Amino acid sequence: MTLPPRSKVADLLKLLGYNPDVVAVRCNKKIVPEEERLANGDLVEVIPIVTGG
Amino acid sequence: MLKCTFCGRKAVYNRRYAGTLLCDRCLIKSVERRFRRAVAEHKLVSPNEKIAVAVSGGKDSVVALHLIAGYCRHKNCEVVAITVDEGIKGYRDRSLPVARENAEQLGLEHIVVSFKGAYGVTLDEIVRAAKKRRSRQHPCTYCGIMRRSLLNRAAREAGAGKLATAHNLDDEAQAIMLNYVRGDFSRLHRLGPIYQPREGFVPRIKPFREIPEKEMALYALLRGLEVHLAVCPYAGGIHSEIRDFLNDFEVRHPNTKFMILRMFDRMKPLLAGAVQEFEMQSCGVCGEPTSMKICKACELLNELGLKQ
Repeated sequence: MTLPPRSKVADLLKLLGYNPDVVAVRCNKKIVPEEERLANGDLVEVIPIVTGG
Repeated sequence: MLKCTFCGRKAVYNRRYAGTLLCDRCLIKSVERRFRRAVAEHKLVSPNEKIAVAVSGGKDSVVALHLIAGYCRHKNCEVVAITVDEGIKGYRDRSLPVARENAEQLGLEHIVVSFKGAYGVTLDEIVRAAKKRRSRQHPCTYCGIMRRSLLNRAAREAGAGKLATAHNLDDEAQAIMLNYVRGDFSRLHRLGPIYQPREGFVPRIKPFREIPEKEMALYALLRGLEVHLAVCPYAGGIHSEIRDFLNDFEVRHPNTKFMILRMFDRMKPLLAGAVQEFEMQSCGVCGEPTSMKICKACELLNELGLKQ
């Protein structure tokens, strides 16, 4: 997926349609806040955390 | 790199409602501190008491089990884990082993009770019967009522003095809003950190109601706890609508969920005098305590022609 330079995790979540309160994000296997900036080649994992009924 | 507001290490979480960034260590410490503060402030655990913890295997209940077990070890309290197997194929059969492994890891007794064993039917069968009869009830209605009853029964039979559930801030704010929307005054009044019902019921405690769901999840991930992260196949209905609404609102207006909780907690003492007292009796079908001749769980099963 391609994002504009200096994009943040929050920008990616917005693009994917995720509310930041319902997911945790790992960037290169480390948990990161939504304000973390992304760099070229970063591996981002979005983990849904809202699991109840 | 974003830095932790408190110690300067690499941040993992933006606590928007407080305007702070937290690193892994500070987030873990904060969650543990809030749990201990809730237990102390509301006197949720008495010395030498047996605490039953409802554990599904999901992130919240696994975190709850680990924190309560750790706390109770120092307070000389016994802990027993209770899992309700509702009979949801492809969902509960996957989370149940996770609950068992966590209980084993902590060296705790693990009791499993099932809808099938107690009521003779699984939730899957109940939902099929409800569809056939064109019932307007959502699966969560059957599940919630029967699960609560079964948890209470199992906790009572285990000799527990309290039954702890892993309800987090999101769950509690949703429950407050749901009861407003439904105009359900008596259920609204029962919400809070501790509910001490009448005879036959084990007092229920919620030591995590001031911890947001996301912080519970991050705690589980950062501590590397084994959890089952999956969505219940029956999730939906008004519960989900209220959850989505609150999450959208929280993003635009951080602190909304806490404000809903705080406002309710301030109003709660004022509601006490307006709740009607009722006579407790034993359910004519299952013998469980109820305010009516037949408890709600048995009434729902009767309606579907699924008598025990």
